[in-house]
Amino acid sequence: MSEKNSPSAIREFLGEAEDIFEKLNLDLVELGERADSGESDPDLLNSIFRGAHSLKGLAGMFGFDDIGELGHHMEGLLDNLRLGKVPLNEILVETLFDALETLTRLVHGKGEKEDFTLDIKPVLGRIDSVLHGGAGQAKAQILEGVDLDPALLSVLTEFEEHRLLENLKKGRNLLKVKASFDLSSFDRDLADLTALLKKEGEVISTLPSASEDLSQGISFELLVGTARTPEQIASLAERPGLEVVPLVGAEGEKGAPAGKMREEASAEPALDTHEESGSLRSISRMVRVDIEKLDVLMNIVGELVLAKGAISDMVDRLKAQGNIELGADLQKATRILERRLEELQKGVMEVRMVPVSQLFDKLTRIVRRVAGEYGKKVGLEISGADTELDKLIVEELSDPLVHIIRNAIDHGIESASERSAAGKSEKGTIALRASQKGNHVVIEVADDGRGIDVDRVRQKAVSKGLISKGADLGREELLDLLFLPGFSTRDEVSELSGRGVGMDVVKNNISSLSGMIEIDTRKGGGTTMSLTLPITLAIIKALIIKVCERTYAIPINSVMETLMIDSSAIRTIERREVIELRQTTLPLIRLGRVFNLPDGDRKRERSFVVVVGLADKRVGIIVDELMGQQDVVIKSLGEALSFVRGFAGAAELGNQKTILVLDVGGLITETLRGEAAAHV
Amino acid sequence: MAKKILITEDSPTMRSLIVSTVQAMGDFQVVEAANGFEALRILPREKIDLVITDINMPDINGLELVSFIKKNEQYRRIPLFIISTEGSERDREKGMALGADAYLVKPFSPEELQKLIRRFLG
Repeated sequence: MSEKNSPSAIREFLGEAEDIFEKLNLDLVELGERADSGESDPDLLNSIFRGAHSLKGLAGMFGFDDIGELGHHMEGLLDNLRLGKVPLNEILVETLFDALETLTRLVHGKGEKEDFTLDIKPVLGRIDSVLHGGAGQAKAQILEGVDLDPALLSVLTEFEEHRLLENLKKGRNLLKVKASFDLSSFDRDLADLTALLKKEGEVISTLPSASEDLSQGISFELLVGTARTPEQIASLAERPGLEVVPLVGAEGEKGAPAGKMREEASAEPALDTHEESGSLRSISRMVRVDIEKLDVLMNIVGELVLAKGAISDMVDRLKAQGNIELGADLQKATRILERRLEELQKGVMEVRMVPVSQLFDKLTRIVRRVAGEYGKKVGLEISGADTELDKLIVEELSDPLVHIIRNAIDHGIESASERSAAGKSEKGTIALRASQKGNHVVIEVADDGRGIDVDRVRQKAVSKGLISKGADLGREELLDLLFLPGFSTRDEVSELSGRGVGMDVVKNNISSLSGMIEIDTRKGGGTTMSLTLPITLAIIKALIIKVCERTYAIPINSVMETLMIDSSAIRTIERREVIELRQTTLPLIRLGRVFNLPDGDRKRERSFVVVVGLADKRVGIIVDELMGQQDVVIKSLGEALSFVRGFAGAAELGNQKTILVLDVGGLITETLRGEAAAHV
Repeated sequence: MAKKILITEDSPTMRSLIVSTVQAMGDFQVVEAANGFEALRILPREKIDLVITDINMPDINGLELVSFIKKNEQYRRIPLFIISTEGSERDREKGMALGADAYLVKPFSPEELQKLIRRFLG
């Protein structure tokens, strides 16, 4: 089917591959944790094997030979691992992570361009060396001499045969557990039984019983390896009609329906008999949707919101023209429309929300790999992974977070020897925390490393000519220097965290999401980077303002309050305008000056100040007029205008007019940094 | 009435590839199952004329499904294809020994699958 890969088929492939990667990554992390003991969970191995296997099969159908070949090698290695032919160790897990990384890059590449490829020979070489370095070219063990029903053996896959042998080697009893179920609920009930049996041993295979008429229900025979006796299993399971038959090992009356003695013990809860309607339901209730489809929906909702705004205007006009009755009726109808629209908007927004665990899971891999690259011991602690954010924001956060984590491991966490000398545990810790605060989500990356030496930051800034020698800068202002382009505290830029990308790029990425980044650091005690982000970007409430005859929108979630002030209240401290607000000094911005508008310097007798804040930073924006609140749909300014500073995007108002939305985070930083610069 | 083909495959992409290949033939109805359990549910409810199943699936594997169908008085006459992957010859041999009527090895072409279906459902 490789000649004609339709774009939609490719998208489907990408989606499924992503899911497989996500699962594989989690599984590999777990496998890595077990590598020390050398003993692994057969279910886990099988799940990893199936991931590689599915990917290989899929790639083949799409003619992606490189993915297929790598998947094939990976599968070969995993097959040998699960059949016990190669030992589980650190090197093997690293190799699997390497292979997964290459697979991910290949799949992403093909998403951009179908003929994208990479040189996979190095990773194939590593896989082969693990395979051949392993103890075993041992031939697959064959189940000879085990006295078992050939009919039972005939349905076991090679892996299941291996598991059966392993169980016998451990001296476990081999039991056949037979149970009958109602057809409407057998999957759930069987899963319950399986979970229970797994606690007592291993379920090697599950065979549906062929002899019956399916419409009367269904029986399964489970092959179980366990240290328990058939009687113990039967009494644990508490299922009427359950039969437990010893096959190998356990003493007991052969074929005795041990479960029968419990028959009166518990009546099964009445099974609902909605067979006809419920039976064809698939087990998963999830739907995978292309984010673009949600964008389209969101845009339509946005336009409806605008259309509703236009109707509200008409209500006002009708009333002004004296048509009170019609006006009131229309207003009532508009309110209903408004409430429903709000629900619709909320619903669509909720669909776009994904837990940040999607991102955090990927970062566990990065931490592991980067720590390995630097030869450091680093553990990762995650909290708040179920905090939800717009899918788009989660995607955009990936690069900045990777960069911050690289920095933390490269510059923050000390070597094991340095740590023990400082009285810390040899293993460093990075904590990834997410939490919701009102309309924002805060994501923190905290390390327990050496912290940032503020004095060195100052020296560096002086030597780079960023500040003058005698500049009087506070601690926070010095830390802000880290976000200037080209700043690096290391004398030689590390090859890995260098990469030509600095904290300035991270900061720009966060600003373009209308977010903000802050540093908190203690010498010797570690560094915390906090990212404050809006929950969603699509539709926002905005305060519409006018300055120098131009209209702008300020996202309402960053507006703290609005004030009316006399021009006499404005004072100038070191060439910066400020006002006193409840015992603190609030720096002011004149947008006319920032944007170089004609008339930008004109002062009025009285003006309005919009106090905006993100995290704990506050700035007052001086405006001429407050026009009120409105829902706006934010659209990106596009690549071509991405250099324009101070704007988060453009928004449409109901009357077909387009206005610019202020980038509050950017303006705040700019103003506060301007303050620092003014001291120089 | 159009003949019905049951496709059991846990990978949604692979399943939709097979489904679209079958649908392209024009004269068959398709029933999909995402795992062996769903297939077991569908069997007594629909009159199935052909089963196509993957081997490597969670819950019950393809071999167990083959064994079930080929030993059941009601279903044993339904033709059944197994889909396996390069490298799993042993599982494939077991499937054929259990009574599967034909096998396909991934990657296969649409034509291969269509030819096979025509051979059994003419």
